Amino acid sequence: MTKKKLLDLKTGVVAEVDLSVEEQAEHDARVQAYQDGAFDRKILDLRTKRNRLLAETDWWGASDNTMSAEQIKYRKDLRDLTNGLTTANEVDAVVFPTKPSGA
Amino acid sequence: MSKVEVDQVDPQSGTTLTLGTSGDTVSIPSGVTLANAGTVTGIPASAISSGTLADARIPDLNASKITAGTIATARLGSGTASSSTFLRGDQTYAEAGGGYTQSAVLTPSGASVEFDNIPSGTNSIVLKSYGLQWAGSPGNISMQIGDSGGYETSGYQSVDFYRGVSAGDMGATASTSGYILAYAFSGTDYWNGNLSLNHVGGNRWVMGYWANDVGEYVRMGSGQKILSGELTKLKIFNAGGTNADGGNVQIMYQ
Repeated sequence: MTKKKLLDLKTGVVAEVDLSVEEQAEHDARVQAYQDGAFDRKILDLRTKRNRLLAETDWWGASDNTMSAEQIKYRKDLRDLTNGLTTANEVDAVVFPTKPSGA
Repeated sequence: MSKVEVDQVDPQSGTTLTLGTSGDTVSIPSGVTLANAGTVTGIPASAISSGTLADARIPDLNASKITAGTIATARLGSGTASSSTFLRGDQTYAEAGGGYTQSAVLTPSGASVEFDNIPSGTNSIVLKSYGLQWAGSPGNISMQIGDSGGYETSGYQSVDFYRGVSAGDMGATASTSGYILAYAFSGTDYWNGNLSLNHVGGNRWVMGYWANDVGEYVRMGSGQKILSGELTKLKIFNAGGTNADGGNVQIMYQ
């Protein structure tokens, strides 16, 4: 049985008590939903970080700048980073490409 | 021993009658009543060793004479004296008002930390937490509030914003199932901060907080929620269902 720490402000009593049957059911459902949503959360975080890294190098594509082959590959690898990912473990295993030096 | 039996003894001359001589003892046997309709003088207080003195016979007592012991609260004022009341100038015990009442400091354990039986009429709550930490992969940290019908698990409008010290490391997350206090909390994160929860009428509670995580992140957020009834409880928990394993949390309310 899952426990909780409870302070009753009327009595001042502090106790660690078991969740009630209803509370345990709500707790279990919440945990299950959290576990079920692992892939969605991780892929969202991955895209957020990927998009930030892409944004940092957007200036490479300015009209007065010519991207090197390494820079082109770096940005393409970032764009393709999420391709084919279907599980949370696959997302955890993703390795970000290394930003070309001197860029 | 001779015995005098007369109905009245009067002075032979003058108006003074003397019984005995210095050193003598005049005894009044058991069962005899010495009735006085005149004036008795010269009886020392130490000679009064039984019976009850009428209030009128007790002179006013100077307060400086009370130098020990404890005066019963009922002698000081009307109403109920308790740890949560104070004695007003009109000698009435009344509930304290106009200030926060501080709870005990809780060391969280288990999957949630809860404050129950929040007093009726509470309109403002300040939650203080230092080093609040959860084991494993706790995920989002949330707070729910409830009334006599239990905790409410929907209808919140809440957003958490975090900013890391690393360039570009920031994000925002919304929640409707509780006031979200932290997004994607890890087992090594800490929640050090203050949170305010205020009643703005109609059982609508607005929340705001500032917190940091050991110099790596600053978190801030806000939200609102309309309860079905008067707020009586609040709890903090995490999405992953892991147990708290550090820190402390305390509320003040008024």
